[in-house]
Amino acid sequence: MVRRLLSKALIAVMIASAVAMLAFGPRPKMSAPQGRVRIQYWDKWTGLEAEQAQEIVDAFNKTVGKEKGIWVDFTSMSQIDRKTLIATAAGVPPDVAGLWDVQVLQFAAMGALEPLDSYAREYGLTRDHYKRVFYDGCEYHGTLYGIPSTVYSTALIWNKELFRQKAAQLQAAGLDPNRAPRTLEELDKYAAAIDTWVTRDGRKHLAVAGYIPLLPDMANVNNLTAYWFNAQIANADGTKVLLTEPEMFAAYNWVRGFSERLGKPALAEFRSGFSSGDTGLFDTPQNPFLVGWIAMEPQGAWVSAFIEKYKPSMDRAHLPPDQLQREKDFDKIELGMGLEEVQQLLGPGDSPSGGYTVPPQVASGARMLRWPAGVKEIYVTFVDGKVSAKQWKWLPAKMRQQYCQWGAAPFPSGVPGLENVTAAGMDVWVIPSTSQHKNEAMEFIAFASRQDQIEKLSSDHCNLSPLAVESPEYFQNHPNPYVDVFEALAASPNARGLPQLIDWPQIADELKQVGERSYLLEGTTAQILSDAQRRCQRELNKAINLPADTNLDLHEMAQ
Amino acid sequence: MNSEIRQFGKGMAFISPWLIGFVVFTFLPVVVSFYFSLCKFDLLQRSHFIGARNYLDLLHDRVFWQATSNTFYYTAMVLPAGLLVSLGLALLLNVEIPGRAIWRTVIFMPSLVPIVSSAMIWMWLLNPRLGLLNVLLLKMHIPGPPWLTDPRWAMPALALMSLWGVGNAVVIYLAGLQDVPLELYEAAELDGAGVLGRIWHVTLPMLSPVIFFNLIMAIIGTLQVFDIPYIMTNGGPARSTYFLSMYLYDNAFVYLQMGYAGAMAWIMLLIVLALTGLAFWTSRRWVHYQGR
Repeated sequence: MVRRLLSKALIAVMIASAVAMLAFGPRPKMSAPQGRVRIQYWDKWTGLEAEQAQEIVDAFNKTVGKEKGIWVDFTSMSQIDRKTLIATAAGVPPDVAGLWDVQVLQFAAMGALEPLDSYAREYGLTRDHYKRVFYDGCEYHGTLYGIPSTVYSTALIWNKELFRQKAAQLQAAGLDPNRAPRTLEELDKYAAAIDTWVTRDGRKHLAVAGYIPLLPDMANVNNLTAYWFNAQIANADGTKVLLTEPEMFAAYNWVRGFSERLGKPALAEFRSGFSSGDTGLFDTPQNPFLVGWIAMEPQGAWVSAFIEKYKPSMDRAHLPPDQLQREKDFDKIELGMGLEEVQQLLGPGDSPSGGYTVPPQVASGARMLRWPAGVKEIYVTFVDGKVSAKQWKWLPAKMRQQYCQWGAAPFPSGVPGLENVTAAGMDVWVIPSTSQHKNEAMEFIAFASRQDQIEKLSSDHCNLSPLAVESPEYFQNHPNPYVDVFEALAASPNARGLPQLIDWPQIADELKQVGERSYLLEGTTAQILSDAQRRCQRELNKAINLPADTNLDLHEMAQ
Repeated sequence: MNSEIRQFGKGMAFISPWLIGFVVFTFLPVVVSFYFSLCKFDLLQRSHFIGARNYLDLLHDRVFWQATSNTFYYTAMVLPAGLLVSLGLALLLNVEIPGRAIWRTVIFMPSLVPIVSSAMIWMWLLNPRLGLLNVLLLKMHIPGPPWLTDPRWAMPALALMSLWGVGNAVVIYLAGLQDVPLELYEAAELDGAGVLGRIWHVTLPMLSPVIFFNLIMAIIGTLQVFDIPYIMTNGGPARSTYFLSMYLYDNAFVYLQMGYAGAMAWIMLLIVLALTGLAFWTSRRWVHYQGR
């Protein structure tokens, strides 16, 4: 009797719990205003970057969204590519997904993405609106499947201080210690002159390297190393992999040259000192460039965000001491402080209209003073002689460059006459083919792609703008003092995106193996590339439904 | 009879959440994965039946063979080492020593650390420039290797790291050790058996069912190893720590070749089944159950 009662009570509790969960369980934090079409926007950005994307969403919801009856729900998530694919397959995709460039071809070939040509034309998001390399990267077989969001190019960053310390060696090698190398041959000479060895326990250890190829965590750039040798990697229609071309051979011979020159054990030890296995530390304070272990690196514009966060002294190496001190004192300024007290801390200050651009708006009756402080201009507004607001903006980029301990320059190419080569990449917005709200989704993408919005997002993320023409404010507000160098590279005719291969993730993995085997000196470069070519072509044939033995002939390479 | 049916019905009702979950999210996907292993399938487009083509392609896929060979190499290192270390620690922790409870806690604690945290700790411990391991080796005038960036050392480094998590097995051994009747030790002692003799003739036979259980769990665990190498080496350098499970994952979710990944999964299942079956077959000779 008791057992029967107990079991019935248990069942009742379970059912009641389920009903309670349905009735009072978790609900979305915000609800869309009545009458708006609600669309889902997923993006890969997390943390601060997600908050910055949310600002665009909020701006849309308050303006265009309100006017056109659309509400965007933003969800930040990891593994966006896999989740978007699975959701698309299940018929419940987001309406807008923020993917990487690598997925455009892969997903478009599977029919997972909505063609955007007609939508994009309607909103003026045409080819001439964007830098060529980014628009091209969103096309598959001549159809547009994505809209570029934040983008990047790759430049050579160099440590001016390490160059100065090694000035004698550089000059002895006939090199100028005050500039970056301009050819790959020069880069090798600079690297060799800067390499510093120490002896510990009777063994020589590489302490500082001028340059080493294939940095961990830089797969996007590493796999495209051959671009600096004018290699194509694949043919234009994406049916043939070209890993055994002479340009590829030159590229990976150059990579293995570092192991041969520095010694495989020394290089392995050195590389693993600033990485853990495959995980690099480029976005941490242990980034070897920030620590001073590597004098030159290929990097995107984002590097300045890490410099500013983890080693701000690299941005302030040549600042006048009073200007440096003023930046620290700026934090001490509090609302309500008196004018005299502020001037005691920061100095007299001057008028914001003194030749600098776009001073913040000052209410009538208020007085604003400006000081250069560190790498910023600070503005303090006084009402009735008391601090009512304080703001800052970056000093002009050219001015900041003079203070930097680091520089940025085009990565030198290995082919005479081939200039401003860069590996460019991007994040893209796409509309999954099974989205139920394609027009509304495009409305949001068009809003986010407006010059003011995309430039703000690009600056916030310390990336580049995909637009063909940038505004002066963009250059003014960008955190990277060398953004002009990166932008010029992105706009260069020699800016190169990913090869037109629908199975690029697999080819990229093989190229990673080519790089690793090259620096581990596992076989000759010709053998390594031939192995990779056979495997990549077989896999490509499978992906594009060609007979298994198509295009398996290998180009003869010099041994 | 009616009462029995009612009881059965109630039992089924109580286990139905698990049962439904098992059937829908495990059993059916397993069955369906076999069908997809015979297809070209990328998740979005309609699957295309290609017979045994995926299985035949695997035979000619050198990365598959490399990953299989790596998996067996890792299993061959980790399986005996893990069993010996965990059994040895359990025997030591079964002895009356001061602070025994604390030692038991210390040994068990690493198995409570989340995998990602363990991996991050070990990546630093194994760092050749700054890592504790190489610093200690250097103190003994032994130059430490670049553990995770040298293909010769990356696999032993992962095997070494796997011993960090033997706490679970130690606890199971300890539980088994408490069940060994003391009178057997007394009898062995009267027969003149020393410490090693008592371990060999009493402890190990009495513990053999527990060893067998841990062996089966270890076979399944090591053959499916994924998370630690995925975080620590991502299969590198030069695929020296690239395991079957990682290749399967890449094919399914990076290359979007679900059919090919399905074929790989079934081969992996067969390997696990074969080794488990082998362990069961040999167990008749070395596993002793009390009362039989």
